[in-house]
Amino acid sequence: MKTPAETAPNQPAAAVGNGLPLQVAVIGAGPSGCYAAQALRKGQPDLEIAVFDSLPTPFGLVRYGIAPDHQGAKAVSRQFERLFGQPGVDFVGNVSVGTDVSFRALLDNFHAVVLATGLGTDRQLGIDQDPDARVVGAGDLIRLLNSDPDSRLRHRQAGPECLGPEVVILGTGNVAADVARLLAKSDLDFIASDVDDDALRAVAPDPVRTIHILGRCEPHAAKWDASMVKELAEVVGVHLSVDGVSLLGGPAVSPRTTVNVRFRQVPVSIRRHDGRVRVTTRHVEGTALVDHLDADTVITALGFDSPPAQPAHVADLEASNVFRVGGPATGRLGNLAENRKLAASAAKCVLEFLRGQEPQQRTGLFGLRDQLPASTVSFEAWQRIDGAEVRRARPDRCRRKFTTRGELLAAAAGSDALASIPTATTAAIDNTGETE
Amino acid sequence: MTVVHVLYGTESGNAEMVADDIVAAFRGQGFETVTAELTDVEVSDLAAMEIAVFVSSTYGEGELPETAAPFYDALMAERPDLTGVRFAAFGLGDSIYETFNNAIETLRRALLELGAEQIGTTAKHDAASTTPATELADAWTRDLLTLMPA
Repeated sequence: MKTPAETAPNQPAAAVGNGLPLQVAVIGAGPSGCYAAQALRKGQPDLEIAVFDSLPTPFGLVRYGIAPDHQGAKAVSRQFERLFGQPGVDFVGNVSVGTDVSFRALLDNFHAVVLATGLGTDRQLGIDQDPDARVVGAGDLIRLLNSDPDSRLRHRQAGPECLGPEVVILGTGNVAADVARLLAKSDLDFIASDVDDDALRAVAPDPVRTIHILGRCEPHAAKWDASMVKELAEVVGVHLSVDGVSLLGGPAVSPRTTVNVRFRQVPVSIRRHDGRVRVTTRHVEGTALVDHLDADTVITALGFDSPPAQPAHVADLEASNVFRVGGPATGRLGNLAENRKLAASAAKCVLEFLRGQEPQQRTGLFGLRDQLPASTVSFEAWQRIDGAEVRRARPDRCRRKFTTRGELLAAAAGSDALASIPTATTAAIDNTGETE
Repeated sequence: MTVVHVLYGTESGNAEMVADDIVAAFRGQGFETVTAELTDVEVSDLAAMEIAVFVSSTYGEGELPETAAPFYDALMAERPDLTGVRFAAFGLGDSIYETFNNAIETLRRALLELGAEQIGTTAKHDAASTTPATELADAWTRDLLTLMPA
């Protein structure tokens, strides 16, 4: 157990010789980046930290990946708000490292750089798949329902597409359970959430009628938490069965949504069939037992990969003062607790590294002031977005997020006029197909 | 000066934040405070504590968080006599789960069973509520302070 002296703020052992503070840049303001910054400051309170994000908003997956009806889990952002409220910790939003500011510039201005860029894209299935069959990534779908301005589903010319009354979800992790729950819920079930109602209405005008969840594994090996399955089964109007056995008693008289979970199913192909999608599966133990399942949409919930758009010079960079946390370190998404732990141990490595270095002066964010775009979003500017989103919420919702970078930047500037806001990351906007 | 030990077990860091809030509310009230994660606390340290404030979230199916479980297991294995130890309890949970705030109850029951005396009521923050944990921590600590003259 630590004595009071040991838990007291650390001595400035690692400050550089001339008394100037040590400077650390964190790339990515998602949970891993924020946890890393938090642990760095706990370990070395006089350290100065700049947390960069290519989005105008902080908190990454907490804002766009945790399901919008799980506001309790999203409350972790309060910790991060406190972090950014401290002097010496800056949020540098709407700045894309590698585009707006070079990675080299960060290495020149900071003593250490922490990569926390997350895992961006839904893992592909890697089976025989008709490119025209309607297959949607669970991560993309949850981002859409969380109002992520970069969600690929948002940027179809005709807007988000209706998923149809019958869907197949591939995967039996918590993300699969999230998707099933979000699609099975009625409007009333979203009270106090910040679900993107317009997007939800577009993809599921009514709660989806039939949801098939297919997993390759044995039931006991499913990655989801039992509490998540229970939560799904407890949605009013939902009847859930696992391998044909009803969960929570017998089937309701007329369930609004039926959810059928089937294990030991290996997907073999996804083809278009009569304007719908046909998923062919085989039983895990044999090649002979082949099954077909027709639905309107297939949703893959199979984990996440590094975004291919990540600049190679960042992804492949190996310098002694570059550290990785979260997805870039593990290649897995992980939950908050796990990433907090990993971020804490990475922070320990960063602090050890800094203590072992010859003191060199670095100017941190101040040294970048001439390179940052005019539309950089500070934490204070984010708080204006935050306030505006809460104020414009429906009475039965906790927040209504802005859904485009233009709107976010206008709110950041404290203005409702969208046109006057310069867009710094044109490349990023072009990628999403947004044309304003 | 009376020393108050604020001991937390956390998964996502929210209990640590509450521990910081509680320490802040104690500031200037005539107590010395020590904050520690339960992983850094030995069961044998407990008997010597004048006042211990336990803060714990609930994890998974009502379990203790990973950073509190080893402490609890050691407590149950060693079963020290905690007569004379006074403690307070603050839990964090999410009422969408049936096992809402189960972990702080588990800890509390163990401490009572071993002879410790609880001060005040057990706080049970609900993440699904609109009250920030910080607000509850602040109000709860103020109530607690009225029960423990410095």
